[in-house]
Amino acid sequence: MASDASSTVVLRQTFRRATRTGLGWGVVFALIVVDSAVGYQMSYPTAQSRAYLVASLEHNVGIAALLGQGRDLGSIAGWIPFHSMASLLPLGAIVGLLTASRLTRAEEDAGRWEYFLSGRTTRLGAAVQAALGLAGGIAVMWIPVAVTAAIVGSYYDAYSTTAALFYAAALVGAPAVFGAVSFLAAQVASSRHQANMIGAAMLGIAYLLRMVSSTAPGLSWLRWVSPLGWIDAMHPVTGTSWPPGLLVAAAALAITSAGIVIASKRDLGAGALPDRETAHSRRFGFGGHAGLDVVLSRSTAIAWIVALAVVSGVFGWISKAGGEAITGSTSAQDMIRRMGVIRAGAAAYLGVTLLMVGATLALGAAAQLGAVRAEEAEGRLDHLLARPVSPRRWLAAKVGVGTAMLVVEAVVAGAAGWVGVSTQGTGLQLGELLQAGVSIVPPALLVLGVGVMIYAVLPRYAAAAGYAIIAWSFLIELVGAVTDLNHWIKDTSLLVHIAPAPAASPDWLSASVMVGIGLVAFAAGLLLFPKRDLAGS
Amino acid sequence: MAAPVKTEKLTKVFGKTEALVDLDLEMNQGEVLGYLGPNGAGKTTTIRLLLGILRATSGLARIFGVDAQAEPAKAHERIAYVPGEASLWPGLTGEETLRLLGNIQGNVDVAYREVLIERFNFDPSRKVRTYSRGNRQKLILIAGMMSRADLLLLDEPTAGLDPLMAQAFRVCVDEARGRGQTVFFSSHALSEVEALCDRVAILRGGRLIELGNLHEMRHLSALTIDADLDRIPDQLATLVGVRGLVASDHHVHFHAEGPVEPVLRLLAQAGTEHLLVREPTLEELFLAHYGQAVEEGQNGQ
Ligand SMILES: Nc1ncnc2c1ncn2[C@@H]1O[C@H](COP(=O)(O)OP(=O)(O)O)[C@@H](O)[C@H]1O
Ligand SMILES: [Mg+2]
Repeated sequence: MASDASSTVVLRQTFRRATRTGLGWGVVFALIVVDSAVGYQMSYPTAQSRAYLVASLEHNVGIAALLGQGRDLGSIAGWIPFHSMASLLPLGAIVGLLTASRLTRAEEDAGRWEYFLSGRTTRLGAAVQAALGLAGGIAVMWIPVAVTAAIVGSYYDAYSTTAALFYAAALVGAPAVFGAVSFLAAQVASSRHQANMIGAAMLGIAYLLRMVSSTAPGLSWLRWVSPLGWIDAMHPVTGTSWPPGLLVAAAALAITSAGIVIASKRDLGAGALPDRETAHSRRFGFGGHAGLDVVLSRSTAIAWIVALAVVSGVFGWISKAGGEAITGSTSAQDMIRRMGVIRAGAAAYLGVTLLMVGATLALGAAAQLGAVRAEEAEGRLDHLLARPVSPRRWLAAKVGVGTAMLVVEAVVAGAAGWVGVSTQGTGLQLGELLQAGVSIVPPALLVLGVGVMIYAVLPRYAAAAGYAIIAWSFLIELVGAVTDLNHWIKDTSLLVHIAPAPAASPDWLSASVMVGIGLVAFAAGLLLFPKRDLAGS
Repeated sequence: MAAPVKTEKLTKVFGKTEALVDLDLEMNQGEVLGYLGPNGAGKTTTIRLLLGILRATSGLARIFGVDAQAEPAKAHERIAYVPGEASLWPGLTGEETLRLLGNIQGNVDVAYREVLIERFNFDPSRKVRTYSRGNRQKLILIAGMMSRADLLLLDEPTAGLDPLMAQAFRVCVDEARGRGQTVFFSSHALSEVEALCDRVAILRGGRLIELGNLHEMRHLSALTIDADLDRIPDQLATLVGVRGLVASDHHVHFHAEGPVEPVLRLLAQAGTEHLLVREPTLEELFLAHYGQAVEEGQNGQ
């Protein structure tokens, strides 16, 4: 690389931002590793409780589909990687996808690379630099995870330092591979949005393949088609298997190289995939601002609906096997009884799944708030509110379209769950599952309403407030699982207030209270919104 | 009939920044007003206050008698607004954007829209994300000018347009004047408003410092002159209209107001080898005229 400082500007920019992101997520990953260890010691202190755990989880098809195949769960050394990777594999993949596209394609879309590349840097050079910067982010992410894993391992005398370093490498494997996928997608796609869509589809396929491979014994070879399966096969801590690890690294390298080759051959700002530059103008949806909201939300809504339908359908399909395993284990029953599960079997399994879908919908509501704020901050709202559009009507229409999306998504999740479970002959009715679907919407509506109120006053914090409510709810669930919390504190978690329908009857009272709070906050937001300055571009 | 724009002691303070202070301004029906000021003078702030999308710290803004701060949506029924820089919905085509904004605006002259599309050589069939900055600016210009609104509020509308398109824009303003529309348009270049406006208002540091017709502004329409000469004529310093003279060995730099002929004759006699005449920036004008630099972005822009 040239010695001239200005010729490495892409490397320095990407490295600085990638390492900042990597370090932040590395710390989060490290905390989750600690949480896995501490949670295990507190929840399963005795040999007996651990034996139950092994019995309930190790050969549980449903759990394996969701979380991966556990090994050696009777020891803390088996539990830590199983428990942490259940959430960190998908989370890490998403972080990798979004970070890589943000630091490459978003920069390019914003025209900043144009500026760099008018200097001494070539297309090829810029792509190599960006890739190196992203790799730096992965390396930095590995550090806190490795250090923490090593400390946890020696504190519990559970595994060696080498095993800890390998485990940390497995944890950053997902962001590495999917960061590479996103890097390649960013070169192929014609916008960041398109790159993210491609990346998300790849992750969805990889996750489904892994799910199927661990559920259907005849199809277990499928895991060798999914990078997530390779990471599972690394068996960090319990087995420390190097070949799949090398496969992960080689894949990341190969995909990134492909991205670099494409980058050097295409025009800046264009994609290898054709973008429809000209399009037949659509006839409907441009009569007013509400129609525009529908048009703008459509592709996001379709993506959510398809994803939720697939996931709920698959969970419905495996719910019988998953539910039977729960029924066979006292400790697993204890665990889910704490969540309010009354009916056993497939209903219990689906109930817990739908709770998670409910939490996901609340995340969707927070993301909607971010989109509303972006509409204003990026100056597009000016065009509407400088015309004869009432600010309150605009905001109300946004919230209306958002609410409709959430309700439809929830009902689709319920219906797809029923389609899946109906193949299993469990006797669960469509009506029950549709009700269950509706019953998981209220937390999302509360998040939306409260977020709108914050948006009306401090727009910058609206989405953050939404995410904070959800993070707080998870924190309470987490802490509540290992210690006895005061019920006043417990009640501040939204998740406490959803019953795991269809395994229990929906808690319509709590639902009304949550919707009521959301409505009141929304009304306050409507009242306050026109009283502040509009942030222009 | 109420004035298209009338403000009384209109004031906007952001934290410690006085973006606009005690603006008193009244526009006449059908006039074209140039609203002039360097960057950070408060032009955009004024327009956003008139639209009611910024909340005034104090004072009043009326659009055709409607309180723009209290009833913005009502005031907007008679306004078309063109912002200086446009961020639009990237996934919509140009045509979809025009249709959307037209439907929301109401009062669109469809035939004139087609004339504008032609005149600006604009291709509405493409997606907004593929437009250059200049094309996006054309799009919002067309969206604003195609309406038959009684009042056009234009915020530095020619920024990002090439000279040919800026010329096309001037034709539009003339046509608007011909139809009796009232036009308020901001700019940071004197030459632009000179050619178009009945009256000029000059803003500086949030305060209105000049308001009058072009004749009254004559003292501001100066030229900046740089010349390399054989010798420096003594009379130059005392010539009527010459200001801010800086002379070194064989070079002079000064501003000339009023008729240029005496100046040119003097320079020719002095054996001018090289002559550069240009319009001064507003900042230079202020410096020459008020003897004080404009503290641009004085409050930490
Ligand atoms: N939202 C805001 N917050 C803080 N200061 C602002 C804001 N908008 C404008 N200003 C300040 O107000 C002054 C006038 O800005 P503006 O009206 O945009 O000027 P102009 O349009 O004449 O360039 C500037 O000093 C600017 O920094
Ligand atoms: Mg401005």
